[in-house]
Amino acid sequence: MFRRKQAPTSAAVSSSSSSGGVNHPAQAIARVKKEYVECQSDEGMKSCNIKLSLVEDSFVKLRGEIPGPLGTPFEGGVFQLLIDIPQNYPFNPPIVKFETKVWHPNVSSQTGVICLDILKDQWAAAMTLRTVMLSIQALMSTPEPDDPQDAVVANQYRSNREEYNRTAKYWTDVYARPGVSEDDVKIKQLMDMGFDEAKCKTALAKAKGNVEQAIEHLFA
Amino acid sequence: MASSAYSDFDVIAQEERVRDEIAASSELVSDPLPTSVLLDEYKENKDAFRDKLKDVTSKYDSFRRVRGDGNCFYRAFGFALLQQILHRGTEEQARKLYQQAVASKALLVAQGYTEYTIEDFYDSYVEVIALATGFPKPPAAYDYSTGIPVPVQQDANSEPPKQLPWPLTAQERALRESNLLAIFRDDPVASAVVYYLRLLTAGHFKTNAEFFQGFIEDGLTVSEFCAREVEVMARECEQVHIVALSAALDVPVRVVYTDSSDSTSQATEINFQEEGTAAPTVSLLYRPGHYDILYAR
Repeated sequence: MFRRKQAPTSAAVSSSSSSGGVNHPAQAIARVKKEYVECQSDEGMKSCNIKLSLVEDSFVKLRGEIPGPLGTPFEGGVFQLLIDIPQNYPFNPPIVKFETKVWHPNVSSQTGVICLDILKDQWAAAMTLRTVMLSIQALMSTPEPDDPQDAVVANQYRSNREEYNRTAKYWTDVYARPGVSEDDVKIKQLMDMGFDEAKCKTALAKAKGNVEQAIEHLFA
Repeated sequence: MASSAYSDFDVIAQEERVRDEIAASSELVSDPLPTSVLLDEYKENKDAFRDKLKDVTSKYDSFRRVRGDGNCFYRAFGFALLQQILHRGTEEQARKLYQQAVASKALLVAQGYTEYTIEDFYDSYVEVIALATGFPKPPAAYDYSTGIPVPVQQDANSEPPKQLPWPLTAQERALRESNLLAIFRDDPVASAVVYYLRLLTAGHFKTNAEFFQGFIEDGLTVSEFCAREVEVMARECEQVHIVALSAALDVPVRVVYTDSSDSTSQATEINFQEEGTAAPTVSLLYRPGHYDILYAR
């Protein structure tokens, strides 16, 4: 319930990427809690295997998990999303991006930023994180190359669909395989340069997980 | 888009900065000001616009500024409506407004809105309606304070909350008006009330989809139109939105239009929901792109 309390200053309202939660009005937090509870028992999300979890129990940072839709190059992958709740939630949309790298016209292959209308000017306060997750899954099934986030991927999608499918599937295999750890991804990256697995593991361990240093070790 | 120099997020960030600047420089709802202030504001204008403002000042002696953040119509309508009902409403009007407010959530849920997503906005709306009418706030059905909805146990032996005797005393009205103003100046409660008025507008569009379809352009369905133009905060309204909201609440609205077209030197008044029975007439001043609240002489 929206209780009257001390109004946040306009400066506090404008910094939408704050992660602390101390500046979030109680209303925003209560709303996220409500959504979180509803999501845990939501049949629609369960049947799609979409999951929502908390980061540090704060209710201002959450993590989403979406399985790659069947019949797409993302099939078989599990994609992690980072969700930031702005202070004036639900009047402003949640800030959502892919944490798992994905090759998709509407997602930046560099930063994971998503181009989706309901995360921007078509957000409505009656929408929820559930709406967002289901919409992102739908976007994975049906890219919108005319409203791209990543121009390179969008061009490839339009001009060479076969290559797009291959690249997207390769990225899914490399970055989004369930149970694949961050180290596995790095080792795969090193092995792709022509080194054998054992050497790559040793180099990565020596470099304490830093890929560039591991490469130096391998070439040394 | 990644291909242009500015991304959508840059544009949104820019829009947010503009909104913050507006927020820092103007209150959500101002204190009443004499309408002569408007003439001073446009003293450089020698065109028909100023003539129309003169016409406005001859009929309306004061006005309140409402923040120009894209929600001005809903905010102006909401505050003016509650003020009208508090000071000039009859007991019958107050009861009608109160009862339709209490019934509205179920109607919106029946139209497909998810209850837990509109509950907070409904609560805030009913709170301001209760404040303006003197009717008791209905007990909450669920306690959402922990985030986990728990049905609230009503004590069967406790007396139902009492309605204040109507009409309210002058002292009571003054106190309630200052409380209303405090709520309308206080986000996020104020946003919640504004958003609920948007939902009531969208609800009316949807229940009367056949009628409104004819007014909607670009080949959109009524639902698509609502999703784009009504349910989104800060999206400005057009006349059709005023038709819908005034009809949804059965509240007569008079909009006094001023612009610089010189076909007439008088401000044009348009009455929406002329036979509205839920409240005395709400008067709004329109300057291109913006609504404020007007008070007749």
